[in-house]
Amino acid sequence: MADWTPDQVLALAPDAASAQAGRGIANPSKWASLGSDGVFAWGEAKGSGANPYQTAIDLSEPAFKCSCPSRKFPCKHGLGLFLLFSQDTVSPATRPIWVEEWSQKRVARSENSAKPKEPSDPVAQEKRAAKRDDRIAEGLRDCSMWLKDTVRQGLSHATLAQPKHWESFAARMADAQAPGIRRRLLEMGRLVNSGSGWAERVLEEAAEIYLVTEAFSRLDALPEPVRADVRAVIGVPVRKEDLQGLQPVNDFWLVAAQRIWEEDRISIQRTWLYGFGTKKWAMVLSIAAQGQGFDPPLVTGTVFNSDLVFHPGGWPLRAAPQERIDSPSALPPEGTVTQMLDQFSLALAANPWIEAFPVSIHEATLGQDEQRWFVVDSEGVSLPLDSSTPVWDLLAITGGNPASLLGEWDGRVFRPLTVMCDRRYRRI
Amino acid sequence: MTPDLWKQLAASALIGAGRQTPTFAEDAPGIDPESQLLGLAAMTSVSRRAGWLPISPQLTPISPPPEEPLPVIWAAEVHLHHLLAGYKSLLMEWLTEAVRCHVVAPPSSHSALLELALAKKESRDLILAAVGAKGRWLAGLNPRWNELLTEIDREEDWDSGGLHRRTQSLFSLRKSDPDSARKLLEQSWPEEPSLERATFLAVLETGLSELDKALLERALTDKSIAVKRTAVRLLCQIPGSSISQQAHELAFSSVSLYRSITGTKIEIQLTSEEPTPFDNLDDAVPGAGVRAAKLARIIGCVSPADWQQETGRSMGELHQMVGRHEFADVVRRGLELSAIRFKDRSAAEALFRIWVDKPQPALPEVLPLVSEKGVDEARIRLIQSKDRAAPMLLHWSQPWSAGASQAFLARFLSPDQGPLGQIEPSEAARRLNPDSIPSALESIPSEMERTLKSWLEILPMRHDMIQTIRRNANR
Repeated sequence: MADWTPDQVLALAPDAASAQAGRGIANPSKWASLGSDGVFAWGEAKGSGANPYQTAIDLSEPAFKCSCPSRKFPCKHGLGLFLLFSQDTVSPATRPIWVEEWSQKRVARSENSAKPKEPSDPVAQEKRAAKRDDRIAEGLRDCSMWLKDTVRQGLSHATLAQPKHWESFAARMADAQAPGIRRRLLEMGRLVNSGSGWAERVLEEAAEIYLVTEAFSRLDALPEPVRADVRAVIGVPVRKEDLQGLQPVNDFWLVAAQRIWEEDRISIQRTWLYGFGTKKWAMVLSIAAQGQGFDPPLVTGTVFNSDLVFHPGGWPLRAAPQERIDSPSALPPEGTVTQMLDQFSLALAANPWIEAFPVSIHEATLGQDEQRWFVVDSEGVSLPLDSSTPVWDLLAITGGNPASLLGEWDGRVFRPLTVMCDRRYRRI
Repeated sequence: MTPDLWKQLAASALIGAGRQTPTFAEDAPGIDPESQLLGLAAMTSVSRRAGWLPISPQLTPISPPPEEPLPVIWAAEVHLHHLLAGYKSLLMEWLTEAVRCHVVAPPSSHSALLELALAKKESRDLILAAVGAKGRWLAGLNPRWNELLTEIDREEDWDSGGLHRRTQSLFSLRKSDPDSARKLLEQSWPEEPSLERATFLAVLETGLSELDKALLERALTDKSIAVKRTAVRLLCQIPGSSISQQAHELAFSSVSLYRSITGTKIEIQLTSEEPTPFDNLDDAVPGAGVRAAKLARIIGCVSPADWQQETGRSMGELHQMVGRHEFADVVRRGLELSAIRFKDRSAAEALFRIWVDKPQPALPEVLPLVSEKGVDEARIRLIQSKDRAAPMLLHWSQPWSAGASQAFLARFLSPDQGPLGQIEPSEAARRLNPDSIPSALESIPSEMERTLKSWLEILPMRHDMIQTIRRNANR
């Protein structure tokens, strides 16, 4: 069982208001009863109604349950209880019946989900897939034409500066069931007139999308891993069945870095995991409605033992965790800029559409020239920092001393997401 | 692959492949130039990213931070981030408590606190103390925060600074060496414009003494009214100055006590219309005519101690004695001005005790002079009374004492709230003593759900916040 710190607990909060409310309720006087047997923690929170809310946490994941009507997840009672537990203010006790019932339900549900599901009609499935591929093919043909028109007219053409120009064609890609292309087109639109070198950035994006359209037009001729990468860039979802039969990779996985952003009123979390035994990086993509926590809850700096199933691809990074057991935290992997750049070259050779690549820089320091900030590794090799990096927070936390930085490299700039300093992981 | 190819592709894409056929298109006849451009760009772009070589910029070295002599209060980090994120009204209490307990804020909060210091000039000293040596080191690295640390270079600022810098420079010198500050001002006096003369003269209030008399009396003949006004205000605070003597003569000839059969009475007469130096004063005297206002200002030029010595009555007693006299409000306003101008704590506390029953507009000016100890009794009385002055309680930004908190709760939670009902529950929660939580929660009626919600949100947080700082400071 992991030792949870209050800031790790609060990192599970779906939003700042929930975190604040959770803090408010992390007071024993707010609870009619509290207890824990090491596997579960539970409590009865005094509410405005006659009956207290029953709140429980399965500490192995953690998973939450609460009888309150809140639609937030985890709710403030779950967070408050977890905060109390993390501060050692919950005494050992025997599990009450309602917690035991929940525990049994969870076991049953887990066994159920482990059972192989009835295979769906393969003929119908194939038909659906073929129909979708036809739609994508048609959409990507249009996209190829559209891109050619764009470079024929020139990127300096006035219409390109209008968001509507991009939005309307991006909608066409949504109709063609190519959400990945839609997203990249919208990003391309945002790059127009965005500062020095914008035209080169737009051309890079346009060229990468063009490469997808070309690859899809001759998909059958491509090797299977590249086909999987092309489908992933287009945004074709990977079903659970598609992952069945793939060899899982077991390891102790460090939750090394996380990036969260909003898109179309949903929250997206990209979590980078590092396997200590295999020395492999893995990426878990989680999506949640606004106001909801991510499932599974992954907290920076924690380590868990799990089988990960990697999605197929030329340089597999995306993975889905299976059952997991939490362990104490550990030090981050040691790495240098040169090592990362070597790996990145190999990865791009296998999958030219990689947008973000995991980086761990050991003993990193920050430096500044006249124009921008850099991260410098122990060998004196530097990478330019993404302009949105909160440099002053980083300097305050590290005190200018060498620290481990974990984050993403996109081939142009480094975006730090985690700093490890004084044996503590911090999200940036 | 050459960098030239990428530049050529980018230039072609920017202008438009349809307007100018790119040179590379000639190499593959039969394929349209746009396809060639995009295909080549795809290949070049990937190869550029894959072959990216680290650059070796000339980096400016960062000076190492100093050792932090005070303990960092790590345990309060979560609290502090929540306060910075959404409860800024409690932040000052956190910072004050941290500074009082000699601990410093965790580094992860430093940049947010330094940003706050830029916006809240009045809290700069507190914030710079709370971020400790490392926070100040950080401020020194960021040009945006440099001004927080700028030491006043007195000479340079005085010689070449703007009005603000010059005033700061003079003020700084006056605090450490009043004599030199006055001499510096005397030297430049003839060349200073009128706004500067009035502003710099006001600086002499700090460390004011008889030695300043000559310069101030010279200023009485200045052509600027603002300069003359400042001179009068300061001179009346110097015992024995001509202005002080004139104020005494005029005040005591207008306000005097006499014995009658029914006891000691007060006699009030307006001053004559003859011009006096006090005509330049501009203190507000609401509802008074020209002569009445003049009298109030003159009364305000005599110290509370002199009033007591001359009349044998305390400030509170004089207030009561004017009763319903025609010029009662004029005299009361004059006594208020006297307490404020001479910064007399006991006079201010006396006024406050009187104002418990009838709040006056000058309250915010008087409150800073009142000591917490001196008014707690009056504050409790105010809470217990049914007077409409109750919302005055909010004029204290500092947390209330345990006694005042208990008195407030007893009243606020009773069906007969009276004027206390006007107080926003969240405002009360920011001031109540957090130790009062248990009794507050027990006695709160169920119909006061909003109050309950607000208190449950704020009071435990304040309690936790203060306890965490104190507990960890003592380790």
